[in-house]
Amino acid sequence: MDKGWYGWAGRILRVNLTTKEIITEPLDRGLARAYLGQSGINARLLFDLTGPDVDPLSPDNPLIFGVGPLTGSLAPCSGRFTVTSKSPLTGIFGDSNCGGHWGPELKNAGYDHIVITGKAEHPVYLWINDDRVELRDACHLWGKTTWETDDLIKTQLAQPTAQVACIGPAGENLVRFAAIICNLARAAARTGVGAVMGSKNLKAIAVKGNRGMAVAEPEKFWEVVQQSVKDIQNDPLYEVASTFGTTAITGLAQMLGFLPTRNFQASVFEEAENLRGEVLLQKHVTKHKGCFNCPVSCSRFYKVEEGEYAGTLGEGPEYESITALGSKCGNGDLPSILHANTLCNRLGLDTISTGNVIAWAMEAYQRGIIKTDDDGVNKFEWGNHNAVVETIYKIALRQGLGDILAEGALRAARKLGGEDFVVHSKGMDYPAVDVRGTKGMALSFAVSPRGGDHLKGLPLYEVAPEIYQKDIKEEVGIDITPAYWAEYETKARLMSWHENWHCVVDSLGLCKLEGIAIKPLKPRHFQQLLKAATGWDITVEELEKIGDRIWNLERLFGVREGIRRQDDLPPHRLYNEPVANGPSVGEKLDHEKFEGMLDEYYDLRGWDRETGIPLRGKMLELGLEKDLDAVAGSGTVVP
Amino acid sequence: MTGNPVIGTPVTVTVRYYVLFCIAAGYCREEEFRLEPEPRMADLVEVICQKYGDEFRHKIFSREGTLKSTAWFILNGIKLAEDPLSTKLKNGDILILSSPLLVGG
Repeated sequence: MDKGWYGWAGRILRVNLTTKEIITEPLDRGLARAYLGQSGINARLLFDLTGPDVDPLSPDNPLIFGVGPLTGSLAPCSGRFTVTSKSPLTGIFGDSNCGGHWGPELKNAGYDHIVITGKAEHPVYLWINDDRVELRDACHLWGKTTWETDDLIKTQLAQPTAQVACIGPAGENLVRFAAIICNLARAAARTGVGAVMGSKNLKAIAVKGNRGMAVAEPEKFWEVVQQSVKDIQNDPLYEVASTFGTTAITGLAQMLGFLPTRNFQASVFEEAENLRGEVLLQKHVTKHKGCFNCPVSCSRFYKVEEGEYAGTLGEGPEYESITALGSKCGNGDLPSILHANTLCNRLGLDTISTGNVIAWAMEAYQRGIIKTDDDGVNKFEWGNHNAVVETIYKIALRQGLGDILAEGALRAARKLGGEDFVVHSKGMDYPAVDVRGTKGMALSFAVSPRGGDHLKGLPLYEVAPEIYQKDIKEEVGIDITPAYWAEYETKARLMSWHENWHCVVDSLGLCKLEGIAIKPLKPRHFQQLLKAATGWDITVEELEKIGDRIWNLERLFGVREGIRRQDDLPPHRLYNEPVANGPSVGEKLDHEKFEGMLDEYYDLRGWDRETGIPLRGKMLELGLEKDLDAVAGSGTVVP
Repeated sequence: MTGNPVIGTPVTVTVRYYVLFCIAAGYCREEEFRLEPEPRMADLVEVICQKYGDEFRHKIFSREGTLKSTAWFILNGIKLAEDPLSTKLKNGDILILSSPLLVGG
């Protein structure tokens, strides 16, 4: 840590790949106070370093890595880092949050952020060993999978405990939803940050740190940490989380009727029984696995013992990946999903966008838009798991039709036809909730600054009101009922509150699995942890305001790129087609009610109802008025 | 078919186990129970707890014997919100016993 800093390391590393210049500079205290760290400061840096004229895959687009003031500390679930860049998938604000051990190692090496600009002449990787930072040749690594790269770099450096974040062939080939992978299976995947890394000829960042970090009030911090761990372990959902992770959802999503099936044509899948977390646990899980300093250990190692995919090893998969590569593609073969998940990790692909684009292609085939694949064989039938696996390769290597699909579902549809059944917002594919029945999630996915997304604001309480009722009343002041998920009322308030705290958690360096939904960690936990770690005299209200500021800055980024109210509406299918089967049969989003919910949301946010542009009064309140001026200066007419 | 033998008109209920309940039931995912006439949910729960023992019972009840909020009773597709144990069961009912969901990933 730099002198006088507690929590933060106090340094930003700037690497210009074009000039090979490497500079370490102090972290600005005002910046930390205004944006906390990790995703918040990343967003601020990105806003200042780029603009509407910057192509996401050009050398001018910065790639920013960041950790938070609690990353790498004894705070539970503090293994997170965020990668931020202008997204090659959406052309707007992009970031992706990742667990594992890479983030804490960066903090240990003495850095809060790495800002990478320019483009290397040939493939390189960045090696950070405390103050020693160097670019190394990576020509021999180009074309290698993430698993091979991780192993080769550690061997070459003779540093078996170094942490490596790298891209695979997908990132090299500029697949617009390529991921950055660390610890072989932890992915910064959404919005295609791996493609930005590939565009810079940067294969990997390897880190080994020995500097450690300091906290301002060690005894108080330890006390709050112990209480936080207790609260996590005493939470009623702890046993589910530590036994199943997110895979518990698969069976429940089917039961409640929000399991996206065949590209969201249905919300109940006839083969869902095969995809349940219970089946995964009984047949394939070999061991549970946790990220840095996690008392939950929600992840799992798996193995396929027999059949066509025997020998497949990997970690995960999350509910999102099971669904993307499974029910969305009509695929009920769990071993094939495990194989596909491993492939995505090795090739460096976002499983959600990969599954969605394949599902879109299967529907395009169903509708006669895609008649044969590039080999001349009809194979995009729903449930053809061989096609799923083969298409993953083709996307990563940009072979044949895979070259078109590598552009993402929206671009592929604009080229081939079938845009009405691309399920996306702002160009990013939807995660695994059919939101026609869950109105708050519908709002959340639609307004997210990075596009269709469940991780910027996810009101879990919608579907489990009895678990969260008391906390919601206490924290947000809203009464929720058993039928809450189907209602439009109060969702705007719930969402805006929730989004602010998402921004806080993502900027502190904590995992949202434990801080995503009021339980088990609440705003007071975050405030107490931050205060003891940094020595700041900060209130819960001030912390929420920081979250509000970050959210609004990300919105302004979108506004500068042309995002307006019409971009905050749900995708065509979910807005216009009723659910075909299951408990939510006949449900669809009501236009008038959704627009009303959006009006209310804009009012709460301080945004103009007509355009969705933040109003000056709100910007003044958050200290963002100069940024609004900058947006106006770039040609946007601000209200 | 499992459960206690009954006298009179039996009521047969299908029980599906999810998440922690599935594990507590030895990874059984579905089975039928034949119950005495006019059964309530509490009767069915007692039969199941007797079959699978304390591990299962502790998934449903706290140490003080109160119903846990993490025990979901979904009867014929409807989540029972209030006092599920007093709910009357009828022949052919389908009960899902599940832990609440957790979304993310």
